[in-house]
Amino acid sequence: MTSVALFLRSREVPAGVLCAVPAMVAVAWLGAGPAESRHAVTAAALALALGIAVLGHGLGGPDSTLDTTAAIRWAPRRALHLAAILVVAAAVVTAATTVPVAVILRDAAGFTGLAALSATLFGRRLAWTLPVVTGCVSAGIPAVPEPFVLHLLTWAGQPADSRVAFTTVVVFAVAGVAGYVTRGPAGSAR
Amino acid sequence: MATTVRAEGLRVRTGRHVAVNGVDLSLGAGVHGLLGPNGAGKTTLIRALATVLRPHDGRLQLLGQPMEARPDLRAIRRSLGYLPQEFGYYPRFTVSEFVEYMAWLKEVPGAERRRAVRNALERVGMAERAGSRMKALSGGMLRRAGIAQAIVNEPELLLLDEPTVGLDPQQRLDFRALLRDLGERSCVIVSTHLVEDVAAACSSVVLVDAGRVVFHGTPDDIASAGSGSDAGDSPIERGYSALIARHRTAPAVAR
Amino acid sequence: MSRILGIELRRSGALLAGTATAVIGVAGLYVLALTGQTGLWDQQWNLLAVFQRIMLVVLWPLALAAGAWQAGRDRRSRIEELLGTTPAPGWRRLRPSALATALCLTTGYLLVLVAGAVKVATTAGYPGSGWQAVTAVGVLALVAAGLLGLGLGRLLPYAYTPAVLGAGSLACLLAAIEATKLDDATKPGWALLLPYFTSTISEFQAVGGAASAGQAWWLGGLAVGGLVLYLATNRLVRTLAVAPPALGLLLAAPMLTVTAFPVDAAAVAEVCTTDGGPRVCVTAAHSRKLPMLVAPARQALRLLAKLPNAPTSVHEAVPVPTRPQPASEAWLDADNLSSAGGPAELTARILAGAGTPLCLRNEDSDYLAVLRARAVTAAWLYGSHPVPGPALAPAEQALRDTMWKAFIAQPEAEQQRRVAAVRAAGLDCGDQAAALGIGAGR
Repeated sequence: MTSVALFLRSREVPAGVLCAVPAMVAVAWLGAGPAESRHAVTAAALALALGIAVLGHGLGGPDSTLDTTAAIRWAPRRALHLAAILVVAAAVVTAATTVPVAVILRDAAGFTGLAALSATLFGRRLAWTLPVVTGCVSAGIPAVPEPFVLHLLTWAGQPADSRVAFTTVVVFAVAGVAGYVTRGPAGSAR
Repeated sequence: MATTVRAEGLRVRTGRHVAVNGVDLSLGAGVHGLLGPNGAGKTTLIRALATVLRPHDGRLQLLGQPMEARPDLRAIRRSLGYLPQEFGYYPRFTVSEFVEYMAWLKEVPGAERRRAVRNALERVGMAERAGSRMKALSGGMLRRAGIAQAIVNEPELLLLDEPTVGLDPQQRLDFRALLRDLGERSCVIVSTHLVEDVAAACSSVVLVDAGRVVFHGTPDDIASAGSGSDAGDSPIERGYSALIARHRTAPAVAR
Repeated sequence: MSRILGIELRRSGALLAGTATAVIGVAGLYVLALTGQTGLWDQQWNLLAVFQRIMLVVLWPLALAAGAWQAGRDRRSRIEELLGTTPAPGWRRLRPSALATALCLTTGYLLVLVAGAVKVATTAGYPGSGWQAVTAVGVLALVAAGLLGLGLGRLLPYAYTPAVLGAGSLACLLAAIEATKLDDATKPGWALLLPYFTSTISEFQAVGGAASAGQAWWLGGLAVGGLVLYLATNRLVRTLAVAPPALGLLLAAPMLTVTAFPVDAAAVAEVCTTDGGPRVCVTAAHSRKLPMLVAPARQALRLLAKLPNAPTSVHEAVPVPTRPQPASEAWLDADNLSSAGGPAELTARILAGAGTPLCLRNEDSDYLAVLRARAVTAAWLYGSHPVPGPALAPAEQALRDTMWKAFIAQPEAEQQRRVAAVRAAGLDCGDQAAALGIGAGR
């Protein structure tokens, strides 16, 4: 257990959780209204984007090069870390809003994939970029079924049965998880 | 000879710990080596001289200005060059951009700035790497870029904290020549662990231990303080060991 | 300083922020081309400027996050100790990066305008009035976001600040829209304090000067406040940073009660033919459509001559008419100008309701019944049923066929009398379905 605690502390995860959980609750609460209202879904998506962006900072340590020289197998730990981010974010947002769990899980998976992707590409300091940018674009545009491009861009605000949104999330999640698990975080950008 | 740095009973705190504990010093032009074991207070002393830390007690005069009154910090800093132990830089800047940026901050007049930058880069042998990004430099080159930014304003007081870390033997030889050159006109204080650098380039050596000055003299004075029984491979290393050991066995005298 | 500014422009994150603004903005404009909805912005300079302001809903939070990221650079680079030993005061050191951020965001915003302008220049005839002010306020809003981000990023130097500011500010903005749900779209009140517009305007509206001035005060106050916060070197100055936004809010207060989107008098002014034939007029906003309208309109006037007291000129009707329709004029609803498929269809549309615009008096009047009555009059005047136009649903078409047969089964004089009655009803917004006297439930 101590090794897990030390790992989390080395990644500054406790501070991230302390920041992410209240932030997610606040954003989700700002949009809490009648269930399935467009605004509630948007707010929940934005809360997930924010929470996962903050938690994404923990996807890298202070020195990624040093990490890669470690003897332990990183792949399963990295996968577990991503899964933990998804579960924590989805649980907090589910508790704070009335939005269907299916939508929350889908969006959480998408944003986790994006956070993993940006951690792999730009390092942990910029792990927030892709979730926040996609979250803002997805929440700032009204979620409409037509045309296809707008449907794609507003994936996070689409109803649970949208196949396009589901496919988008699968692409993000697979790309992010595969990249992060195999390559790990990029060296820290300054 | 004008005195650039004058300290009397100087104490400097880092947090609760008094890292510099009663230092008396008087330094003018020339190259002064600051020598001592780890944790002796070298870096804290240099940071106090660099106006990063305020003295907690005692008196400190930099370039003729007493630090305990309300010193004209801008005037002091205009004539100050500083290479911190942990040298931070903007990774996306090129070497010449970074040095020019620092020259601007040191208020080098605009008309002379480009020439000063080129000059500084030539002196550290980085002229051909002027267009490289900082993040692409190796450790030794980074250190040289750090020295270039420290000397770009032709400072009267130049503080170099471990400047030779990462330099290869040839670069260290060049660096010693550069130090001697700089010491002709300004007061250069070099903190280091490398005793041979001190022997080769310094006109005086300040030996510190546990926040105090143990010894202040020429490299030859240090070499003559040692005897065959002291630890070390060269006369000056043996002298260094002897002086530190002598100080540690007689703590009551100092206090 | 100009060389240092050049270095900051090349090497700081400002360039990326400006590029992202331009890319997202241009994509936002042209993604509408996929569904042929560019009419939302390409009809007028005014509409383009307003549409850009709407897109700020996404760009504003991102600029805030970019500013906060930029502000954390010294700390991330661990260069603060070295910078602390330089003589230049902190505000002097930070000035170029603030300027670079403002310049790049401004350029990004204006590039979106240029990208839209390419299309507007080929489509729009009437320039619209006051788009320069709308764009200037938009630039100010975006720059305010960048500077506020810089200031807040320096005040809260944590790794999470950019993310929290970006997503958090958008959440607050969206919640603010929900809280200020508009009763009257022309008087948004508090919603004008948001850095973006919540709805678009019609081509006959403009953004009021008072509203733009108020927004400029408020956003300018925010920008100055952010700048002060960023450049502040001590706590006192940092506290003073609230003063500019407060002052801006005070100066902006009068705008909260004004009509923000008044009718643009110049846009609804008429442009008419001068060739000596029967007069055909459109609004200045649609002056480019006039050549296309002349022939179908004159054809419609010839067909309308069957009626007693027939109209002698065709005019475009604006959504909120400023004068009653005289009997000597035929009016055409403005939206037909862009939606009609061809000259014959345009003629048929003028003939609908015998040269009167569609008028919905209240909710209980049966909208579809009115449309059917207008279609029958159009067919009678045009001389054939159905008139040229898009195909209808089979059930609807069958209903209209029945109505048409019932109508032409009546004596010729009665037919003419009823069409004239429909026109008379249309002139003062009466019930056209009742005037025709044929159709389901009548």
